[in-house]
Amino acid sequence: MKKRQILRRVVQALSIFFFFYLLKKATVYPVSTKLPLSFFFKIDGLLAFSVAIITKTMSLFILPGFVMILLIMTFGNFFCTWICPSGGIIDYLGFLFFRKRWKISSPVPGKLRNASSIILMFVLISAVVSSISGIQFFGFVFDPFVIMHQAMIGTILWLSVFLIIVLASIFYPRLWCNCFCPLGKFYTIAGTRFKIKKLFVMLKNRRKTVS
Amino acid sequence: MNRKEFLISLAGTILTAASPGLLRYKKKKTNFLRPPGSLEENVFSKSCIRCGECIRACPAKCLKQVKIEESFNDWLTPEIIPRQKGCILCQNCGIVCPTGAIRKVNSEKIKIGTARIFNDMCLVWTNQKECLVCLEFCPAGAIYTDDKGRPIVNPELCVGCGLCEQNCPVTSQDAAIRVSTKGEKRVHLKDGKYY
Repeated sequence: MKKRQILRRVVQALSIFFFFYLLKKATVYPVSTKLPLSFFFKIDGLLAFSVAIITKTMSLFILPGFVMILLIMTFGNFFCTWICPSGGIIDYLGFLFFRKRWKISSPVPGKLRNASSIILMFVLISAVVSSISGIQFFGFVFDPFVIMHQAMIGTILWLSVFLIIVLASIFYPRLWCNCFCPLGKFYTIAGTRFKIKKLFVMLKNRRKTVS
Repeated sequence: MNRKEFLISLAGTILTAASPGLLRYKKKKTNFLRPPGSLEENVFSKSCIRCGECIRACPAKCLKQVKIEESFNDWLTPEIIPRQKGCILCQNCGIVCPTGAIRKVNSEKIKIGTARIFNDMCLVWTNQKECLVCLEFCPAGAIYTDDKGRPIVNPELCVGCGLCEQNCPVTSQDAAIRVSTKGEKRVHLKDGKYY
């Protein structure tokens, strides 16, 4: 295993540990005001973006999400492969238990691969519609952290969704992340199409052509 | 019949079968007792991302998720059902909320709702029995007795925690003292800031 991959696995393990540590700490009374208990929700750029659209305000609560978007625009999408505890759990379960035994060799169908774009569109449109009308924002149902937290509360529906997400990766590695996760898609777009370096190069080229 | 036609007809059949239920659907419940420090209802239900952090953090376990059959729009948002559990006003929910839909506020500003005594059900009012459990459990000292020893709620002092309703010894599903959202204080947006 390459050094970089080992480092990635270590960071992922730490992230999973931190996720469950915060999950546990949030239930200990009195709740700590020093620990960032909702850390993973705070760095959820898509939620921050959606809430900013819905409430039409920029509060300190959602600022870390925007910082995360800026970081991803600078360094590329490091979130999904290094930090995301949901992806980390899927990776580790696959690495420890499932390996390659049941993996389907054929690639994921093209239509399925575009599902995350459609889901991301739904989340953003839902936020815009919610901000201008009385209709509620239902984009949260696709957020990986909402799914994980709701599953941890013990709601059967969400627990089943989370199990399906994890078990689906037995057949296709990271099926959820590659095909359905709107947060992953959002960060991928921010980290590729809106990458600051790329934008600078584009601006430079435009100036050159103008001059 | 090819596969496409089959799927379209299947979807049509399911929609037709479900339509009576969908048409019958209406918002059953509107006034939810929200946790202390919640934003105004229209902003709250939109900015609550249904993460369930508040529900997990609540040490009294008084926060419950709104069921889909109660209100589709408010599905999974937190509400207090005082008959099951009253709020201990710890404001853990305000500390853990990631989007600020619930905020930590000064304890003097807390007002979830107001309790009201239903005289026809109260043991003291109807049967002149010695009870006053509501008075003993009230943390705000909002319940006092009249010259005949019957409990009365002072709506200005009541914070709507629901501990009186939770502990009311009346054995029916509804307590003799019940908390409603009347007089609730919410965090509201003014000049770009929340108050």
